Amino acid sequence: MKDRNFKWTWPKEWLKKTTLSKGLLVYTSRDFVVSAALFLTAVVLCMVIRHFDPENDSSYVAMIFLLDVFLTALLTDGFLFSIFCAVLAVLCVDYIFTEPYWEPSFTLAGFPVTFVVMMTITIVTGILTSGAKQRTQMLREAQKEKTRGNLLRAVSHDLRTPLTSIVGATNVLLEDRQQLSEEQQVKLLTDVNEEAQWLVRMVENLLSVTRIGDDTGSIRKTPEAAEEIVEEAVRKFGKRYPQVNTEAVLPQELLMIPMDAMLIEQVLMNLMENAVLHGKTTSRIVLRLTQEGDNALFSVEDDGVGIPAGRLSSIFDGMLPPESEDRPDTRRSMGIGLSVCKTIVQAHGGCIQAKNGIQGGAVFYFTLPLTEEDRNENQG
Amino acid sequence: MKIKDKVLIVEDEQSISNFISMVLVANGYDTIVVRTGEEALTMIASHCPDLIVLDLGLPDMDGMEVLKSVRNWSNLPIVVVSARTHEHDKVEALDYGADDYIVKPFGTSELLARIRMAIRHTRTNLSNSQIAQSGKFVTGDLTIDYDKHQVLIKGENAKLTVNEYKIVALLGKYAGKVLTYDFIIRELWGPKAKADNQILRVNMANIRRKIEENPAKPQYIFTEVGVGYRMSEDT
Repeated sequence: MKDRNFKWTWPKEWLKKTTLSKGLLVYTSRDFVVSAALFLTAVVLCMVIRHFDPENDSSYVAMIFLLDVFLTALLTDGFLFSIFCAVLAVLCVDYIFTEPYWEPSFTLAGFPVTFVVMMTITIVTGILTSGAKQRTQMLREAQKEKTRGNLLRAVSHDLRTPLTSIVGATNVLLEDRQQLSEEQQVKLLTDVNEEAQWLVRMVENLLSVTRIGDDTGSIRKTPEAAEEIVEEAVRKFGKRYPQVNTEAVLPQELLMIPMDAMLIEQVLMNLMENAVLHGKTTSRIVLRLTQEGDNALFSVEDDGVGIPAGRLSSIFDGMLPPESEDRPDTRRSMGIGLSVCKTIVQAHGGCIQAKNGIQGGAVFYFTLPLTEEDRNENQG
Repeated sequence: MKIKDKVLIVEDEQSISNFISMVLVANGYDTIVVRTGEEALTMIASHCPDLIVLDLGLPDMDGMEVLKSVRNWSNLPIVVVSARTHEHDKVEALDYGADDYIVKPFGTSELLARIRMAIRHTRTNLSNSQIAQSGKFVTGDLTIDYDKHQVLIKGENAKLTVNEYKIVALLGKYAGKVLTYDFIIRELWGPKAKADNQILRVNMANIRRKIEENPAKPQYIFTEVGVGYRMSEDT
């Protein structure tokens, strides 16, 4: 049956739910096509069998229509189509497939029985399947809640340390200013400034995530000149970290990539910043853009200390690395920035990876598809 | 007594207007602080400030309304401050005649630089007067020769096509200011041109390859992602 084909995707407008009276009966065009196809299949099947059946034994007819009603109830949302289908099936059995053919025969003793059986099957199947659907929905909601909870926990943890330091430093400045030397005051203020800057970047990351659609993971993509994004990211990064030597290597030809420019810029910024904060000894960063078949490949290479082997597998998960359990207050061990990168790149249909460079240092690279394709269906 | 430039700060958050005002006073400006759009309009009419720092999120009206109403009768420089990160808002503010925009949170040095530039622009219009006097715009090793319709790099013709020259010439005329994609397209291809910035991107990529030593680290033309382009005005 073509309707069971798993590769089949429905046009979006066909999945739009229309509600008839009071929200009880919901239907979609998809459901209509499914039930119509099932019903026609049943009718044709019966006719074909009758054609090859000289003895005119019509017991299979009821069975086939029962199956049809059951499948319809299973594969469509709500009761509308399955009830329709049951009524039609009863009429059909009565009108076409029992003698006299092509004439109604309501007097038949079996008619009310068939009708009641089919209705019961329809309603029971409908209730069971919608119950199951609700359960999966609830499971999905619970999963979403859990992810949100994890993110909130990670964020609160990340926010607490800098806030503590800001509150502490400003309190000291307000209350004990007289006892501090000029130098100490400047030191405290510098700390406050740095912590606040760090918070700003944190919030930028969180804002980026809100730009990605909540349910579908979809984003608004427009074709952008990749080199312009790289250029701006390098320029902004240079302002923040003038001591690091950044270099960008671009392909000779212009690459136009469908993307949300702000988000990809955020990814590049995060990766470069990560190279500085975690590379420890990083003095030079190379940002490379190349074309690899149907993908654009961005890579950020640094000359820092590299990534500890144990962290490579979970580096994008935003979890605490195991070795820092004993010092849970080192806030920069939480890779919120990297998990944001992963979210953004995946929402673009690309993938992101990390490895250690051959000459030491870390390499982060990610791909973006050069051609626009609608991936929302597959992500579901 | 020294006469100072007067800056009107329109901002409803007191902690923010406080620090902006302090920084500006410390750097030799006079400031007036107002908290609503209504007050802003009255103060602008009565005090005629030299510059307005305008926050877009005001309690009584959209800052964009203040911008539009001032632009009806005056060209006085306006620097828009916005908490909105979407490029769309920056583009809209620039298209309605803001001289520059700055996104919250911002550092004081950035704010001061923007204010200095906006005031200087309206007063002397540096690049324009330079062009009017010599027919040339110079920044670094780049020279735009408006009389000969040429762009020179270290004295050598960069061999730009007509459209490429027009884009560079336009950016040179407004050096230091961000020109939105739409503005450039309108100036080049007329008001009926399709707002398709693909052609512009391609042209810009070609220009960069001709005039910049390293297109990834441009010296002359900078991208403001999602908004437009800006020509450097360092001489």
